[in-house]
Amino acid sequence: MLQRSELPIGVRAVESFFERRDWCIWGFQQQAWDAYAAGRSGLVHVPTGAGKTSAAYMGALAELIDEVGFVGQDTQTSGRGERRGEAEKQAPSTRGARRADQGVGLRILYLTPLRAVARDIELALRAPIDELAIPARVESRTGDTSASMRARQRARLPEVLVTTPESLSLMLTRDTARTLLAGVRCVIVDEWHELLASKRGTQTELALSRLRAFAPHMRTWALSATLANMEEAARAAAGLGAEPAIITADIDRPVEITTLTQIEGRHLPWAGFMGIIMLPAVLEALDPDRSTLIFVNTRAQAERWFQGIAMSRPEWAPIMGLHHGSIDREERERIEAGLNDGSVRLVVATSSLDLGVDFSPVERVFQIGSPKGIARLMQRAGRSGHRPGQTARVTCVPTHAMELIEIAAVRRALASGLIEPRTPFAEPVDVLAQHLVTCGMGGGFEADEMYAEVRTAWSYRNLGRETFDWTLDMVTHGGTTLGAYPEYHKLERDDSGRYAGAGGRIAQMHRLNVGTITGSAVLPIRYRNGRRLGHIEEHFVAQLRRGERFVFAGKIVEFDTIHDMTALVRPARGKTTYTPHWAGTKLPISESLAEGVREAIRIARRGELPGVEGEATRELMEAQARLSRVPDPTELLIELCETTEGRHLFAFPFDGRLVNAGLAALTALRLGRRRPATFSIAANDYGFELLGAADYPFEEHLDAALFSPEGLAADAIESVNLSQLAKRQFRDVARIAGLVFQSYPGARKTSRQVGASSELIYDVFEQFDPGNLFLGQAKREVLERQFERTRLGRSLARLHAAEITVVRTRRPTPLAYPLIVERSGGSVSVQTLRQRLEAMQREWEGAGV
Amino acid sequence: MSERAGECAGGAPGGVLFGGVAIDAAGERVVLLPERAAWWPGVRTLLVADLHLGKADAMRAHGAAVPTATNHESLTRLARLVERHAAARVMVLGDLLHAPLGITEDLVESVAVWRAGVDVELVLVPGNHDRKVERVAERWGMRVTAGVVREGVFEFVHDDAARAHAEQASFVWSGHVHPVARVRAPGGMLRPACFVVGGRGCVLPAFSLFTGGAPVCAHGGERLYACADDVVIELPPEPAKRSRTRATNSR
Repeated sequence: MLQRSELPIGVRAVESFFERRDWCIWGFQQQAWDAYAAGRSGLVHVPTGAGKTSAAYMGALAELIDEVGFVGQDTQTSGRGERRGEAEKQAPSTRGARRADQGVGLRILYLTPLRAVARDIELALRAPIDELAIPARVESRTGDTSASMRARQRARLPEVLVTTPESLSLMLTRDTARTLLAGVRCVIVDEWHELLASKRGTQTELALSRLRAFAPHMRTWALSATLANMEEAARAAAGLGAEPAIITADIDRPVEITTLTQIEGRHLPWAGFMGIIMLPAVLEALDPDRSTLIFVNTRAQAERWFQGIAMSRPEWAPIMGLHHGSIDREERERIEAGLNDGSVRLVVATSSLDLGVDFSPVERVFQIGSPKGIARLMQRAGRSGHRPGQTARVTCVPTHAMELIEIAAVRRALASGLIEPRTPFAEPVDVLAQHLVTCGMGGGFEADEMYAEVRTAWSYRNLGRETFDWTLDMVTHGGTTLGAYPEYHKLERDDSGRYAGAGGRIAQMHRLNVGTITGSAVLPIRYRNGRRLGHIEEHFVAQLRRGERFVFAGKIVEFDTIHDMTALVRPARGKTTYTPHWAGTKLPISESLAEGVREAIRIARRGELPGVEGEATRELMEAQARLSRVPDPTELLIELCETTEGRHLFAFPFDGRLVNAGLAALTALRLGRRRPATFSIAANDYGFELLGAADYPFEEHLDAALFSPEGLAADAIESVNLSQLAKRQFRDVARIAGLVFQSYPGARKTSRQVGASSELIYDVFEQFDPGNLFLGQAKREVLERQFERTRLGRSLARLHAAEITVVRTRRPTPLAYPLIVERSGGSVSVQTLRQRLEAMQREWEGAGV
Repeated sequence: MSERAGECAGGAPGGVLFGGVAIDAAGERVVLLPERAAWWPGVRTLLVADLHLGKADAMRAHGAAVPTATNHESLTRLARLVERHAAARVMVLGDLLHAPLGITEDLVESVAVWRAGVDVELVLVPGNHDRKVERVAERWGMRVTAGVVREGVFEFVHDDAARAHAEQASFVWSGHVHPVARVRAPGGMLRPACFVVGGRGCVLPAFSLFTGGAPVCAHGGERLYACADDVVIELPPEPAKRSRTRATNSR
């Protein structure tokens, strides 16, 4: 054991900082610092609030202190760094003095997916620097950074920089990128479990691979919570060629779930989503003196619940807050600060509060509706009573009867330690295209070198040279296929074979586009007098008429107009519960949880489901058994039913909404082959529905061949084509790849116009350039992401082996009913436009029109 | 009054109507074709509107990578129509071009080549997108009219709504709208391009496939004729096919 005076000054300084704050150093933190000092990258995987940031940061900070020294409060602990600047650095009178020309340049880069918390992180990182008077600067750099700060940073970066993946990519578009970034020693990536499975995560991987080319000795430390595939997550952060350390701590907190089932005299409905029927029970359980978080699953739900509580308990208004992704940032910050100082004690929130700087622990956590995932529930429960080791408590509030089964399944999963993995995208071509242009602009590259560099990013480790070349060709001269695009050159190749960015307008548009991976079609929304409310989805606003009232950010407003790409509203009186809808926010149940649900049903079937959930679902199970049957996991239950809408087929694989949607499209396609038809589709986490014409003979075709895994790949692709989903997915791909632009400089385009363009481009590609890789990527993404193709394959195999039980029901059963209510899944048609119109024609003639 | 495909002289499905539907336009017989054109046999004229040639080229100039094959598709389809009907004249009712930026040398050349192989009189009634069309009029052997064209009981214009009404007796052929019908069918809304035919005149669908469309309803005595792949289907009047009205603030 080294004597204290023998330790490097950096370590001594850090330890003294901890001592002064009376913080103890956890084992995992020491492990992380040791690994860092040994030159390793790593992943720190411990629950929220346990000190992850310190584990990653302090090691790097100690190294920085070794380099630049520090003054400190106590001359005993001050020390001269290896690299001495001017003598005045040592004088107490200049403690904390930092002048731009004395800095050593960027050493520690902190990446966060949330620009809203960048400032908070900046403060947290600055604390030891201020206290120890280390001559280093800490700044942040996001879309919100002022122009003057940006200008300063263009000349020289601070020693510690907090930024977002998008801003990092933007920095890489500057030709000074290599100079500014070559000194980076440590990159810390926060909330990696969230970033990892998104395109922003892929963008981060690529950006880091570029950074490593500039700064080969850089180490990457990712901070993550709650995921199953730690090894993969660590490699994705550290890149190939590193052996990342995985640092965990044995401080998992037990999670205790309470379920609310009381509704005066009424039963939980068979279908539902908002869950407002549970409001009285929740109100009863709320205590305004105890800080409480109420988590819901969608923004619309958040607005409804907030309004419901506020209307029932107006006296709570001063301590309440509504927090979701479309609320204005200032308001969200106010709420977070309020949670910290106790002035805000009741917050209704979506996943917007899942990430972010730790705020003070709350006393109670409610989860409205199924959490749809085990990790998510653990994370949210973890917001209660923040000290590591203390039991995390959450009250689950089901919104319809089947959710009780889901909650029971979560309980069992927690008990067995089961958690979901987060899987990164596999080599998305659109992100690569954007990255190549970024690198071209930021100093240029040679093809072979870049290919090797890109392959050091985990998600691109198997990237074929052909795909790389296609992408490079695409951004250089529009590709090599028949439909060449001579004007589409974002990169230029010089005679020596070096690629660099085409300048001018193309560069400008690329920079505008770089941040669009997260972009969705939103408009800012504010009052006429200028006060900002947040952001609202464009497609919702587009269908409003002047004077229409709706609820937003907990207030009732009246739509006025759209002006200069901003939605303007006035405060309105009167009541309304019309809430905006936000597209694409419904998460499916995870595969792990779905399996748990099948198990739970099997147990419930026998009447042996324990606890509150068992009690409350007894009636549901009995009704289902009476009208149809409660499915066993080894059988596939199919219900056929006729209503005025037509003939319904319901099937219940319990595979999660996305896979069920895939099964629906597949089944529709295969049925349509046997007998041409058009079906409307609905899917939820339990099963799917096909709605066909009144005379469609489903029963003639329900055999094992319908679910055969043979031909799945081709059929899946065809059903995707037919179901319009690829077109929607292509919209994102087109935008990221720079085929269309969210906004031209000087020409403000609404994204509806952009959407129309990408749809048309899709059609044109389909018809004239079917080999186009961007088109292929959109389809692949639908298959893999939306239909979760591998999961679909597993599911199909299970169904193929299962016994098919067909029941004709006179009316929709408890299992079927939620699907009827859900119907928004689009349709699959094996018929041509002509066939469909002619079918309508026959109907009109029959009706004597 | 209209004849359906199949119920015509010749017996073969489609027969001389080629899947289209013949209408009585102020006493003249005109055939609405599924290729989004109208055929006026009396003077052997094909009527089309809204080709928007060069739209892809204009988009490429802005950096969006779209194939210009759309131009080619439009021109090929038009050439086939000319040949099939042995047309003597093609009248374009506006928006032959999309934007000045899209008038690339490539486009001008391809149209010139196409033009050389198509033996018809080409007339353009200019529309709002046809700025700078005079640059190409000569190379394309095209006559650009000064404005509205009157021939007998017909009037030809690009945008009917944008002008003061003329003599009552006229039957007005126009474009500009890019009309698309909305038909509620099992499985979702169908949106076929369509002709809008009424006592006043007829609005042609956009000839180009690479344009958006505006949903239309049939008002008064109007009828919609939908282009459904290779046939034209007359749609019944409201309310049988009326699309669902948008939900209002009744929530």
